Amino acid sequence: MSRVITIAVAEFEQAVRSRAFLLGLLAVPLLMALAFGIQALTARRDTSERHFAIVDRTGTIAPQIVEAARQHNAEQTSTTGRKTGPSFLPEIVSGEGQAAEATRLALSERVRGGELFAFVEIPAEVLTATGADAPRLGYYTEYPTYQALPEWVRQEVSRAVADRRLSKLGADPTEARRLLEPVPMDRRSLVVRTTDGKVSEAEKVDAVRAFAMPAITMFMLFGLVMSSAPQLLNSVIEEKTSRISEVLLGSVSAFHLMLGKLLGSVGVTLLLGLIYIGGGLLAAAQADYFGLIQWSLIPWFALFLIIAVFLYGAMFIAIGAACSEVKDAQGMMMPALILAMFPIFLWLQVAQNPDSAMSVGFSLFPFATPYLMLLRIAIPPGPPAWQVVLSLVGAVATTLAMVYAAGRVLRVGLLMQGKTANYRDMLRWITAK
Amino acid sequence: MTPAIILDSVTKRFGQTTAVDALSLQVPQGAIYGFIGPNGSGKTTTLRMIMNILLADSGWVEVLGDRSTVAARDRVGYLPEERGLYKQMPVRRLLTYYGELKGARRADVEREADWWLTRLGLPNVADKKVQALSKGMSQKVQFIAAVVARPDLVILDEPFSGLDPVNRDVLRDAVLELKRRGTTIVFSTHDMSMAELMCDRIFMIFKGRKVLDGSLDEIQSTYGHDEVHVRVQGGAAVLRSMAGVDAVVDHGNAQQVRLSIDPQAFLAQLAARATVQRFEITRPSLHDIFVEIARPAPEDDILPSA
Repeated sequence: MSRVITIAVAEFEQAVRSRAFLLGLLAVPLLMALAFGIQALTARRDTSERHFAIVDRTGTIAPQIVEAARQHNAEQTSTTGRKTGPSFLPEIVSGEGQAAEATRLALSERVRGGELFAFVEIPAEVLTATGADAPRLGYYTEYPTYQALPEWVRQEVSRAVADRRLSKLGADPTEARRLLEPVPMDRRSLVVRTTDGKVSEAEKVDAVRAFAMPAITMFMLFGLVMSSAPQLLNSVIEEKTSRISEVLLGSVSAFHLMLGKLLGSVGVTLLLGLIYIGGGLLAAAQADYFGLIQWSLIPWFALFLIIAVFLYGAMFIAIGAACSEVKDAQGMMMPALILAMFPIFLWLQVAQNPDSAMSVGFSLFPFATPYLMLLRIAIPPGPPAWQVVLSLVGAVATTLAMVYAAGRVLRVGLLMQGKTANYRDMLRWITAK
Repeated sequence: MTPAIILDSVTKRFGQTTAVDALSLQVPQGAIYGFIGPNGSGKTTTLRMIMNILLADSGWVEVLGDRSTVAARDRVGYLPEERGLYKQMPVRRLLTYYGELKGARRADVEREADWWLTRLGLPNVADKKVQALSKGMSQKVQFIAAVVARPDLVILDEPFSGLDPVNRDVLRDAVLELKRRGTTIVFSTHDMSMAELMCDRIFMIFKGRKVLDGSLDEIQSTYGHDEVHVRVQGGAAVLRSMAGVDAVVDHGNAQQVRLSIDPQAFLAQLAARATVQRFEITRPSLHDIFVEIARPAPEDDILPSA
């Protein structure tokens, strides 16, 4: 056993000193920033000026849009005069005395020339026709992915049209708008009877707690596993190609070698995890989210982290042992990577409906358990205890089987040179006497 | 004294190929034991079975009195043919790691590592990374890695290949130093003169089978035929007419003769027939014996690189 520790310590030291560790240190926060930050950041940073033309065939709506744009632009400028959002700068174009096609062509040329960003065509019938054959607004642009302007135009034109229609019915548009205001709603958790006999105040549930915390927890686990498990593949291939494995096998058994490597990896990921969680707590304290942290999640996180590193680590070690060169590993890795990554693509469905048959089923699938069960535990009220126990039994059993199989593959694979084995060879090595 | 290594009818197959075929051999304690044989003849496979890296299909292996070679593993040092060092590790850390894997205490290993680094002329590399070393330096580091846990038995696979003459001497002296300490040394080599000079016993494996095993003296007297270089009046014609002559190679002024009788008796007969100007008995070199055994049939492609 002491040899296993010796190997683990050496692996840990090597990993922590390597450049890959520094990258790993940055990878998870970077991924998080990408996943959560980018949209908010770019949306806020969009301070562009969008010139566009309005061809108003009703002849009455356009001035209201221009006025709405003026208000919008004023709102997008802070008191200090700094812009916080995009400005919309409409220009009314009269299409009278010209064929519709000619107007569109002329405006298209102006968009292509860069003079305009887009143009909007409001058909004359919008004020009267409704239902299935209601006319549609036309929004013409070279940039179909830009959403802010068309969204805003649709909203403002709809509002203007609604005002006209209400006026026609004899209602006051301002009054009508006030009457149609949606009713706000608070989402709250349940109440309990407290020790002094009173009924507790139900806490407000906000989006951060409902989605961000479980998601952050799961993605952090994913990032940690992916920053360490595939590294084991490289380390085994390096030892194999430089014939270090031969020296090592002259001192310890293949199985102990693998256990040492896995333990070293667990050490590295736990250290990284500690750094991330520490950083996360600091950030949460700064942002006043300290109350949102579910402390009970931390032991679960550690447990699933250890299981995942052993499970995926053993898998990548076995693949490394079967390969003779790093480039051979690319093809062999695909199935393993898919197994390691597919749960991530299910996260939103599971988060929105953690008790559905699909969520339960996938979180009980051993290769998805570390991510999805952790996610479900992080979402109140959490899964029933039997599901947690069942998933743990399945995941631990699968991990043990994987570690055993990887040990067998390693024993044969480490001394194989030249030829890269395929999955069938590996299966033969595992089942051989 | 029990032998350091006993192999008893050990066979190892890889698929259809029999790499080692019913091999038996004993390595006495404290000896330097040379393994020779052409490439692909089963040397490394045999060494790996002694190291318990590979398991024999049949027969048994006993190392340092222990049938379970796992138990003996800590007392055996191994230098593989192709060098296995972590490129990113500093030299001293690497040596302590390899030593600790043999169960030695870190402090002991560090002391031993420093002693060897100085002994082999590498005093300033302890904190350098392996990748910064030259080939000769890393080969010496690899040697130290094999002996740093003070093993009782050291197995060196091709320790001298690729070294310049100076480093070769340094490493040879290191091996002799180990012998003085009482360590048993097994090394494989393609360098026949090195084997002749250093080994107490020599073992040759060819196509998985033992073909030679013994001291150089024994091998030369049992395997090789003595040859005689002769310069005699009358030349080859006289020699060919003599009884007891198997073959004559005529070099013009001198002849090389292979005899089936005792050279001394032959000299007496020859001196009675003609004037002998030169008569020299030579023993076959290990090189000659090796080449004779392993000489490839024309279609074979396993040229020994010695």
